[in-house]
Amino acid sequence: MTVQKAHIQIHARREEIPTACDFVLKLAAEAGMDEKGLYHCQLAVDEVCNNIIEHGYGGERPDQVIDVACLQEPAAFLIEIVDDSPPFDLLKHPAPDPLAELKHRSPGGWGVYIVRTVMDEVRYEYRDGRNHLVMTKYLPNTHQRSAPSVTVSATTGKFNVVTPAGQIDSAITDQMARLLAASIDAGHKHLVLDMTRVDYISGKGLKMLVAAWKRAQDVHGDLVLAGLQPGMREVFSTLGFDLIFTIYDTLDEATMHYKS
Amino acid sequence: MLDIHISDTNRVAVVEAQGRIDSNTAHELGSALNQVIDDGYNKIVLDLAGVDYMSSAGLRELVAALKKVQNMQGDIRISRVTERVYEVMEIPGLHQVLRFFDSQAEAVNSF
Repeated sequence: MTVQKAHIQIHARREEIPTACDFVLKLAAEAGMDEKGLYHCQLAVDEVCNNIIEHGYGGERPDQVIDVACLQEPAAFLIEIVDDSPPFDLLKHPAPDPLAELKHRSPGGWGVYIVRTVMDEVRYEYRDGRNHLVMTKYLPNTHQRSAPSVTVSATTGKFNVVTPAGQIDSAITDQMARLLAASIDAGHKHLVLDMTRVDYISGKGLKMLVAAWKRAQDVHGDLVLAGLQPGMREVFSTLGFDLIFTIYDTLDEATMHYKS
Repeated sequence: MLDIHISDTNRVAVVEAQGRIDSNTAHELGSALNQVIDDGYNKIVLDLAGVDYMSSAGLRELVAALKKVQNMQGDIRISRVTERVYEVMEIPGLHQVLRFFDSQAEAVNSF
């Protein structure tokens, strides 16, 4: 995805990590993160950069870099950390036991566990010869605005109207993907997604929509969108998704299209 | 920046830390704790009122020192920890192996 991101590059030296932390703190604060969330973001950047230096680069390497980028979504703040060390998925790192007695504990090894606990989503990818770790922290007050749900209208014969409400995030994405796929596979391949009551969609949610659109296209059907809120419309056009999806201003316009 | 001040109250070592405990400064906390252990103290109060940030690098030094003093029938007790730093200790379950006090005096008197 090509989105405007703020970015900083540091060398693989411990004394430069606070610079990356400060950079992220400033942007997260501007995004509206609360004090606790700011601490979590700082902790995550600190722990991940230390992990990269210690385990990825095998110690401090002034000739190597760590790239830290931030991206704000309507309801979430994303931090991407990229490095050039050998492929290493720290999410596969075995988790230590927080219930262990002191005598069974080794002093270290908690960094990754802490990151996974304080951040809402963490995902890893090895791409273009680099390690990419993307961490998401939900912004306060925006995440719980309305509980996500998804309903399908009675089939009219020609098309199905799918009405999600709230936020299309990881909580609802899988359910929605199954529902859309089931509809298409059952022959209801013309779908209208009524977005009137959706105020946020995550990256995973967008991927899911594109996959559903492709599934419909493959059987000569279509998935069109209707009633996007202004903020959502901006997300779609910024990401170029308005070039993929046919977008109608209202549900009525979308249903007219199918009826004609 | 991390400042550490060490004092003695009734043969209990009081280690006051002030500043940021991360991978750049954690070794200073480790050195201070090792120093009082080497000086013969097995009862230590770690006062964290002035610490507004601690990462797992600080936990590592703390747990290493704690294992050492518990082998000497001693303990490290924490006073005046901030909410944020307490959470960092709670995630790995250290709140179950450490004791926390609202004041230095209470922590000292708990021995």
